[in-house]
Amino acid sequence: MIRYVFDIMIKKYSTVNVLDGLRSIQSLISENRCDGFPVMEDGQVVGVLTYKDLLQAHPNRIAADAMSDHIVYIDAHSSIWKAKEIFDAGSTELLLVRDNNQLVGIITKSFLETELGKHFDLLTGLPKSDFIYYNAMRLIENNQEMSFAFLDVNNFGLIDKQHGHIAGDIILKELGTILSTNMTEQTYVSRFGGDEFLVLTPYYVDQCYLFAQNLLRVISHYPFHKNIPVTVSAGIVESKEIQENPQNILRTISNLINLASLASTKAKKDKCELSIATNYTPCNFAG
Amino acid sequence: MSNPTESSKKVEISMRLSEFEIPPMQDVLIIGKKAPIGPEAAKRMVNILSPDQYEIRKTEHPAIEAIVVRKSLLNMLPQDKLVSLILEEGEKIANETMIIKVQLNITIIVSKSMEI
Repeated sequence: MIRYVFDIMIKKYSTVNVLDGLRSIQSLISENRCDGFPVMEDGQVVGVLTYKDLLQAHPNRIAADAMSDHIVYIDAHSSIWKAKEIFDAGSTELLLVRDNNQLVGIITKSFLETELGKHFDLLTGLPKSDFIYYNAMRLIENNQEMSFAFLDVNNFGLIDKQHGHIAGDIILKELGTILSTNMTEQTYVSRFGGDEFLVLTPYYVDQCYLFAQNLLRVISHYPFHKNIPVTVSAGIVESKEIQENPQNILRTISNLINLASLASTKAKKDKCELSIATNYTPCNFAG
Repeated sequence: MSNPTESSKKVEISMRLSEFEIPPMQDVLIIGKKAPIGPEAAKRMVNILSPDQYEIRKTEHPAIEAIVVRKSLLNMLPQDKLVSLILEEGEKIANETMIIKVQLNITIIVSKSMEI
């Protein structure tokens, strides 16, 4: 579900000494196929050196004169999305992974980007649902309110049958673009699967309702491929109970998403576009 | 038949002997951003040869990465003034690939008058 730094980190990493010459470090890169190193002195990490640093410095220099002394650590049990956030902040190109205060691995920016490619949907360009799980966990950790909106395209099977699967794919791509461009800095969207999309908001249910309503309005006015009419049903759920039950957070998030999906099915059945689920029934649903 | 061409080889040797300067720099070293020796290497070199006599100053200059200054000079003048003076003159001849050795003499002239 959620991939952790420990799952993807480079465990067999090399270190370089602060007095090593850059020429010898360059040859290490081609041998190890790794483009970043912790720089050590007297058994301590004193800096980090990346391929970018090597390109910028004179090859005659020593590691100490090319490295960055801005060392950024990440816990081995952090989500890979946390690592992405750190890289996106732009302060480092190499993360040192720590577990119980021991250096256990490294992650370079290029390595993470390759790994994250697997967590993005190729058709829509949206992240997959583990991105939503990570951000939901973050909201819970910050004691923030959160609501999910589960969006499901109405009669998508019929669109595929009447207009072909290529047309269906184009519509899904267009939906992905509409949703991503209508997110705010605090809301997140992922492609959940097939013709379903999942939106996470840090809002109470009434605000999430308005947010989802606006998304549906934008979708209903959008001129889709071949002017095929596309409508979407949405199910909404909010969490109020999570703070009381900090254990099994992932399971609770799964239950909430499941409830939102059931609410979207209800909205579809009732032909009411939007349906709100409450927190108390979902656990019964999800078992 | 004798060989019409004659060849010979000679070697000329010239020697210039002088005392090795310790450290092999004088008062200040201006280090360019892409110089083959960086400030950390320079600092370690002078610290081994002349421990605790030099100080390294990183700069925000576009071409000059750092200057290594003899500590005693920093005691004679306000440090910021000395550094900016070195940078001002250094940037006129240094580029980012160069290391410039600077000899810097400071003479303080004191004139006092007193009633007799």
